[in-house]
Amino acid sequence: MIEPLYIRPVIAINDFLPIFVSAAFILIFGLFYAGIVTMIKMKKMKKVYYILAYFFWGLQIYCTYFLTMTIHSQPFTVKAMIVAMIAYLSVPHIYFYLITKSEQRYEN
Amino acid sequence: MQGQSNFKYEGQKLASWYFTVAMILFGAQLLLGLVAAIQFIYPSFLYGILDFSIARMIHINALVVWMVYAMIGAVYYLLPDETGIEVVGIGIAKLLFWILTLAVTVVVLVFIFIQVGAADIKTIWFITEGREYLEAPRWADIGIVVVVLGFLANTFLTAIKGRRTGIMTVILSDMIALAGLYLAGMFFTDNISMDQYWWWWVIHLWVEATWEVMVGALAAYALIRVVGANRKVVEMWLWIEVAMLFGSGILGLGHHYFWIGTPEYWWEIGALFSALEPLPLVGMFVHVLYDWGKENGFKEKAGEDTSSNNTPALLWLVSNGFGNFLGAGVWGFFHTLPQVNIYTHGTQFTAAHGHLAFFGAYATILIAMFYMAVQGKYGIKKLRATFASKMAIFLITFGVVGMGVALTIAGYEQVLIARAQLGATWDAFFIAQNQTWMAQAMDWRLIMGVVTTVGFFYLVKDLLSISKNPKNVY
Repeated sequence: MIEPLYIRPVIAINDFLPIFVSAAFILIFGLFYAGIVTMIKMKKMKKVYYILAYFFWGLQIYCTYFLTMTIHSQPFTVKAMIVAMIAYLSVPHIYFYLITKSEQRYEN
Repeated sequence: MQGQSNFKYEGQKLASWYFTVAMILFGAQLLLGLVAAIQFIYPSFLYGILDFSIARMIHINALVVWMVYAMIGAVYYLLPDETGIEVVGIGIAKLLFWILTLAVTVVVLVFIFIQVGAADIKTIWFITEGREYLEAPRWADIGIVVVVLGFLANTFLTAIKGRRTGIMTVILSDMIALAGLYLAGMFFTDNISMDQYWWWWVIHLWVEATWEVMVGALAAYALIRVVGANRKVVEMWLWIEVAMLFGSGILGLGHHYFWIGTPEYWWEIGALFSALEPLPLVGMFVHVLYDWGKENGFKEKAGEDTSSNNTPALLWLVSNGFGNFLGAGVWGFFHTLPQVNIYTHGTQFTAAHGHLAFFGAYATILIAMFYMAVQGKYGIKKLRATFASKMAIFLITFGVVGMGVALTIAGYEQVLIARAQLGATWDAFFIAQNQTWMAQAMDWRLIMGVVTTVGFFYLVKDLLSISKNPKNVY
């Protein structure tokens, strides 16, 4: 007979609120980063606001690190999440590179 | 959506039939939702007549079915536009509509008046299969497969005969997945873990993969029609979104396999791919705003009128960008990692996510399609938002967000008390249910449900009357 396996990751009571808030902020800061890059590419904002965009990206990285540490993620998950966040840095730029190329091809 | 029709194609007329039934089922969903919300506060309400389990079941089934109706309607609406020809086999398509509607009516009547049966094969065939969200009896299951096969035939034959576009290619491939995955919910296994394993193929892969792709395709179509975006650019975005949605959504399935007895490797797979799932939602949000802003910029430069040709549809389209990100993205990410999910699974957190995600990701874009159908039906060049349009979008959004916040507070209380402190026991569940925070959150959920329902009545009024006032059309 196979012994039943009980696994229950322990999270401190006081950590639940920071966990939910940091999880929300990972996406919200990510949206701010992508949104500001979009506005700059659309020439609705000046290029100087890239600093603000990267600041939000930095906050997103911090929230990701904080979340993965607080929920006691396995080392592989922590590394994968941080690598994903670093990859996210390039996502809006790749998007707009493709957009620019397609607009050049189809609209000019 | 009845009256004098300016539709060029019978397929679009058929779409308006689907939209009409979708609206009726939307109303039924809200009504049964209110009944269930009242029962949370007054458990004796309709006890023995329409118990909470039945009200909740019909509430959720009505939601799924109205969205399926609206999606089928949306495909029939855009099919002649995209292909440039009438739907092939339109007579059969109309017959299938009546068969499906008759079957849905019978199933709902059985759910309301018979409700449950003995634990035998007759119940499975004629009353309910009893699996959460897929309760339709087996005869209806088979009927749905037949109707969907007919729908696929109509769509594929039309697309093959007519003009082929990127949007149509995405929809066709998505529909094969959508129809095929339904089959995974039509058989049983004796092992509950294995049974749940397959059951999630329908629930998760429909909602977080194929439906999201359908939304991407509908948003692409709407951006071309409502905002005047360049088709080639929009279709390029669409391909990127489809790749990202399928890339993250398919293995994101793992977040449902955390605690149902499947192997542990699903933790890492589920955690990683679920974490990636919000990415296409950010992309879709940016996409809508980018295209809208770009087209406005072009029009401003050319000294043209920058207003949209269908303001109510555009408002719902923009709310789709926000709603999808918030409801599916943020509220999904709250509890998508296994370490958190063990505490949140089955609490009101899930209900909060469900309400916000279904509204933000699907209801918004489908309502935008309703307004496009109204515009097409009456041959209106430009449709302006009325007071009722604005009240509908404000009250429905405010009501659903209010319900989401109330349920999140209730879920948070359940996580802390029922799960973290008292260890998820039977007693812990009821102790948490009786806490003041939970009780008040449920009061607020009911109030916000009423607000949503008032918004729904404004929506019905607007859809029926917006074309009749010359001030709103020009």
